[in-house]
Amino acid sequence: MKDRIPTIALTGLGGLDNPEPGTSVARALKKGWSGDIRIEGLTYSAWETGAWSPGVLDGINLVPPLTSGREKVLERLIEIAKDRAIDALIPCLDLEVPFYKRIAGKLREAGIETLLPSTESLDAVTKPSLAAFCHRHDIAAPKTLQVRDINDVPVQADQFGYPLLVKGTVADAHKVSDAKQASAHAKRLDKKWGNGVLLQQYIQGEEYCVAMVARTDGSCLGMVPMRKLGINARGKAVVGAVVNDPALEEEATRILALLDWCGPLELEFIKSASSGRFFLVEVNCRFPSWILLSHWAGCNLPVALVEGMLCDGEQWRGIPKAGTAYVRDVAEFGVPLTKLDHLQRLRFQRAEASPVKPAQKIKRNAGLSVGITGVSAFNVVQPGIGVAHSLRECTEVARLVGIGYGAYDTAAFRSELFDEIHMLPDAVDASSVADELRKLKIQAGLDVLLPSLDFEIPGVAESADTFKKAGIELLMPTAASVRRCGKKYLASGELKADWEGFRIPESHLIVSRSDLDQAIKELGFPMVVKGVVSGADIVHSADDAEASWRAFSDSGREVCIGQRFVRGEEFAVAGVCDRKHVLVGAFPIKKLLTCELGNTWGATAVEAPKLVSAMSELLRTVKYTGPVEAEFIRDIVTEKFYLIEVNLRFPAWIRYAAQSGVNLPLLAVCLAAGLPTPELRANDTAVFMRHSEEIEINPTTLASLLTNGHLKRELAEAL
Amino acid sequence: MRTQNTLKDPATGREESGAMAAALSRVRRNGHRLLSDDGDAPKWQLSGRIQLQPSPEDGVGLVIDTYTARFCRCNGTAWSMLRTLASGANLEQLISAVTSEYQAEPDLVREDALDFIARLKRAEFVNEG
Repeated sequence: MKDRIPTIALTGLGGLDNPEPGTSVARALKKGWSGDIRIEGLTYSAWETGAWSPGVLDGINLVPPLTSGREKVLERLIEIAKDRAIDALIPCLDLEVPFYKRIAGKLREAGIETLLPSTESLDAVTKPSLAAFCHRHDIAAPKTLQVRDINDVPVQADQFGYPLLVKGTVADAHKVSDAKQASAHAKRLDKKWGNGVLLQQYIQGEEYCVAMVARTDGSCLGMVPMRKLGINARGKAVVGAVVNDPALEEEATRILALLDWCGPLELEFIKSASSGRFFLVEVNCRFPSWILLSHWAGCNLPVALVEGMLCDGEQWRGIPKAGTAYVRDVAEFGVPLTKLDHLQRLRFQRAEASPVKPAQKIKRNAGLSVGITGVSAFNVVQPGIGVAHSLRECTEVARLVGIGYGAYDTAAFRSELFDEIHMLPDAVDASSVADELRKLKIQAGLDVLLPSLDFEIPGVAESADTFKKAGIELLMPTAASVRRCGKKYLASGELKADWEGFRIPESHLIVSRSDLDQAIKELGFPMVVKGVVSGADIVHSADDAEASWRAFSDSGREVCIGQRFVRGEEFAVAGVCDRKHVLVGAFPIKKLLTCELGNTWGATAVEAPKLVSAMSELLRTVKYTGPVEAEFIRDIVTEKFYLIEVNLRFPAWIRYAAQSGVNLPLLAVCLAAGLPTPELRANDTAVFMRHSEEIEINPTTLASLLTNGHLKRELAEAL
Repeated sequence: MRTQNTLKDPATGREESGAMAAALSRVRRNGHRLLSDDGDAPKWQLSGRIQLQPSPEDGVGLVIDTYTARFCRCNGTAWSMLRTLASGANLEQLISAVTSEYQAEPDLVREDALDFIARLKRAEFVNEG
């Protein structure tokens, strides 16, 4: 192997906001392999965004889905192996591992090595069978029960007691506190994954994971234990750090031996807050998505795996450096449409080998100091990240100040992006946000502020005069204009329904059960139930509609909106209105990829003059000023656009507009500060894509943000 | 002056390691006894689970509990004592370490040092010989 460059094929390059592990594995190999290594991605569609992430892969190869059968998949893999000289293959998705194990012999005949566990070992760790395995071997584990008939869930859940976890048989888990919630989640999970659901005892405690690689004889080649420091609403570890707890390591090593494992593995534990004991909650038969951390910790497990497959005499990787930490942020990039088309037609495309050049932080003595809020991708990707990327290299801007709400605001750790980071106190309401932001004028010397989060807008709009007096320039709608753009107002019927370029869909405000009944009667199903600030459910029955309405009511939102469901493609227009309420810049896109939360992870620029013109008329009517995004659906039958929402800030994908020659954040900054406005000229655009990206973080930086609430970037660089 | 040694848990902002101690796991203790140079006075040494990471920001640094990946920032006098404890120290050596860097009354430093050691012991951050 030493005489030529190894070529590794791997899968798991999609996943959007819940990233599959393949990209992280590929990055770890590229960073850690001594010498050159080629990586070929195997994808089921051209839209696995991790595959296009620059600098990660050498080539992208479409493969048929596993459901198309062993012969078909094998035929394609052998074809790829011949063309690309594949030496080894790393399946990175749970469902793929048993499949690849079954064809491992054939792959070896074709010259492709794998390192995978036996079928017996795999069977032992499936979610339904893990509890029995733990019981047999005296491994501490939460009480778990598989319920195949979903109708039995309420009774069984009541017997378990609450809170408890309802888990899908393959993935996903929800903590529930009553039978009704248990039943609702069980229905969804059963529909998604089949074979019923698992009910699992909830153990209060901290979450730990251990990534491992086992040799063919079952011995451990390397191990990286990690504590989840920051867990998002989906239960994913967005921030984590390596630990070296002997008790955890001993338990993980014991389990590995009992499993008689071979290849990559992730063990997930909860350390009981009451007993201090580690409970095994899950075993994943592949690397975790955070595996790049193993590289930074000096114990690169993907490299260990490849050496295990291709080299003789592979060595124990040593002890990882405790305290090494990561945060998961996002990377955004353009992909030429021709390349996407090439991949779809010919099933292969050379990938972008060079990583994205980081934004250049140019030291400028003159220029504006711009404050930007919404700088986190912890739960959802907030718009401030794209705004900051759009402004980073503009000559009009001397300093970018990131303003966050917690030390886990992911983009705060991008040293190339912000000159300074300030954290506002947790749980501030809209009015005190304005107070806190004004204080930053003194601390950070802000000239212009671009609030990028929905909940900030009303408070800042109402305090516009005091910002002005403090010397901070804004480009914001008035409080009255904010009200007229809100979902509640749009749903009230006070605006005309037909705007030439689009229509406002029929909507009902729902305050009471009778309002809901009326909405159901008039709108039928499917229907959209949405909150006046955020959140939306598509409901298909009266029961679902009631559950959704109650969920909004329970979360303190007295009013929600029932809206006619429009089936069709989604579009959005980002824009900026000047102080005369004229839409002076706009950038329309068609959404190509949206995550489960509805955020845009793939898009293409479109020409939509009629839509933009109608939007311009609406914004003039409501006397709007400032950044804006309008979201539309084009009805699949009538091809009419329907206005779904107006957001009073830039969208999270705004960097795409700037990369395409329409730098709307810069336009907003110049209008706010009274500077000459930049030229906006859309160039030939690539397709917009986004993927999750782990960043190594320095514990000292993290501690600075946590304890001091601010971080000057000169300091971070020195660290 | 009082030296006010503090360990500040960044996650909670509390200047007390009790919260951390409560969540710490049971640990393997070093079995060997550390002998003091001056007879039977107790001598302490930082546990192997603790890493000290200096910070150029203010000349002090971070205490990292490697069992839990918890990070504590500490002030100058605490940092001074922790560095001394890394290679093992008795009370007099701790006092000397602080008074050589800060203008402080040895008696007050003694009181603070004992309090500090007690907190470190509760958190299982030091072994006593």
